[in-house]
Amino acid sequence: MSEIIKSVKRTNYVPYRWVYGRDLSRFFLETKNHKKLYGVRCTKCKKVLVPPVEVCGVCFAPTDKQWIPVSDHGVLNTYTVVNLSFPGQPTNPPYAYGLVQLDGTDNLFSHLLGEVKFEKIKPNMRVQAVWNPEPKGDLFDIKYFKPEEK
Amino acid sequence: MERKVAIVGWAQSPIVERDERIHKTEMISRTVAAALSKSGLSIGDIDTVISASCDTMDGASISNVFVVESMGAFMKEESKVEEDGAYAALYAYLRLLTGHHKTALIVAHGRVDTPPQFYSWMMTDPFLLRPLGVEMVSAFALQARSYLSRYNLDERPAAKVVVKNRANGVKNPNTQVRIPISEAEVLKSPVLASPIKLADASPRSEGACALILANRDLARKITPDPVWIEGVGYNHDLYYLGHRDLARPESLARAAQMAYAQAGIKNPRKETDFAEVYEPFSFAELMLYEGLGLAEPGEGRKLVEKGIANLDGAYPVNASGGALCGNPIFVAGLIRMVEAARQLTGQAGEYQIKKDIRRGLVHATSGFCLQSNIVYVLGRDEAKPKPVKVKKQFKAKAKVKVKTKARPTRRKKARRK
Repeated sequence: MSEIIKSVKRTNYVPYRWVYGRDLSRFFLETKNHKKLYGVRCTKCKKVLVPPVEVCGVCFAPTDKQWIPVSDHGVLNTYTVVNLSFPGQPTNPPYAYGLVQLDGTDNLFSHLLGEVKFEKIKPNMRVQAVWNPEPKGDLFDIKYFKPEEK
Repeated sequence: MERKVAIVGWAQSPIVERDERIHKTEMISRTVAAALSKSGLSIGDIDTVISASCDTMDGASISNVFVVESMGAFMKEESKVEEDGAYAALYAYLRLLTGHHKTALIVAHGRVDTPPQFYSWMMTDPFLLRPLGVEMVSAFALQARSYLSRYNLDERPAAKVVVKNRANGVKNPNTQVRIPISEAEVLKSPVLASPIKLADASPRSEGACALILANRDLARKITPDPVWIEGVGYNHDLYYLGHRDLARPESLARAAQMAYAQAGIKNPRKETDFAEVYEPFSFAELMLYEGLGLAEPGEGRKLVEKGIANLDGAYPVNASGGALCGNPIFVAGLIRMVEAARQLTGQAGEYQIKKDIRRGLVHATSGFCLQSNIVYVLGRDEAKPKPVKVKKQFKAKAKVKVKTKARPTRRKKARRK
């Protein structure tokens, strides 16, 4: 055999239309229309979770009907600077993202980090959201979090 | 101590980065045939077949349907887990405990038909994590950073894990990366997602692994050296990274405690002799020491700094080289079970642990940042097995001859003792 067919390259095109549901719809309507973040309190453990969910994952207890406005400032819990490149990235590497504990909440919110030199990023630094001037009602209504202005 | 089900046979394909000369079904059927011949069973002796594979990596829905033939599952009860093969082994184990089946074949297979980053990116939800490009490496990087800052550590202990595992991998003919590395080289290697560097990450790998379980009565008839499942524990954490304590995965500690309770273990460091753990990244292995109760929180580094976890140490961890030397997705955890069985039956060849071992821990994980964990306690009979010369994989026919001749003599010797 002079030639061997080893493999074929194909791409699957699989379209999806994912539904936000009640809570995420309202959460992203608030980010889009009022640039405001909301959390919700678990009726059992009393922790404030953001984004709001119907049931607390830890307690499997319902959360309060009343949503709580939470700050768009918070503390960076952990972060990474990504150099790896692969399909599906929000921007070309290198870029940074992390988990932020927003003031008045008990869990962590994941988002990109911007307007900061990578070597200056440290866990426990204060950060604040930078809002997108053209909100569409999704995660990128916040462009990224940057170090808090003093 | 429970001794109701035992590992009686196994085989794995050598782990490679990519092999385009072989079809997936060929990889599976050869591995299954090798496992059957090792145990001296025929496919007709197998009651149920459980597989583990990944639909996204295979690019097909319910991708086990294509490999029913090559797994030997024709006219048998067949099912699949979309998790690591160590969970397929749990599924099979529980089936044997029901008494409906006497023997089970577990098959895990993974190929790199699409970039692994793409597969793990597809594991995220479409609204909160996927838009950020969260995938396996950077998610574990968040966890590693969280761990380092919680206990105020630098990156050197994790580098020592890489040095240890890579040194062990050199001795393992079935693994992929067999080149030793120095601590300085690890620390200098390019950063993938800080603090995870290229050398801290497991390679992209392909491979298949098969394991055969049998109930107590049959196990003793099949092999003189059954490896008993003395305990198993499993636990699952929440999905969203923001809802978890990444520095201290609770599901891991709970899985370990569940396995220890079943095996009657109070102090795992003293009552077990070695561990094979699934460490997708070097930092994870330090966290695994702590979660498994082998070290105090924040002190996992002591096992590598003092050489305790080395192949010749007091408590060897990943004598096989671990997942850092070869990490076929959904297969690597089942390979940990096989490696532990090799150690317990004296079949690990060059990387055989020298000290007398009777009980080992096996750990496997699934999901982002050690979300889901499973821990086995495996043990052998009291009599020490005779070391068996390790033969090359995929030479099934030759092996059958040797096995059938060798078995009666070994049995007689065991009786004489």
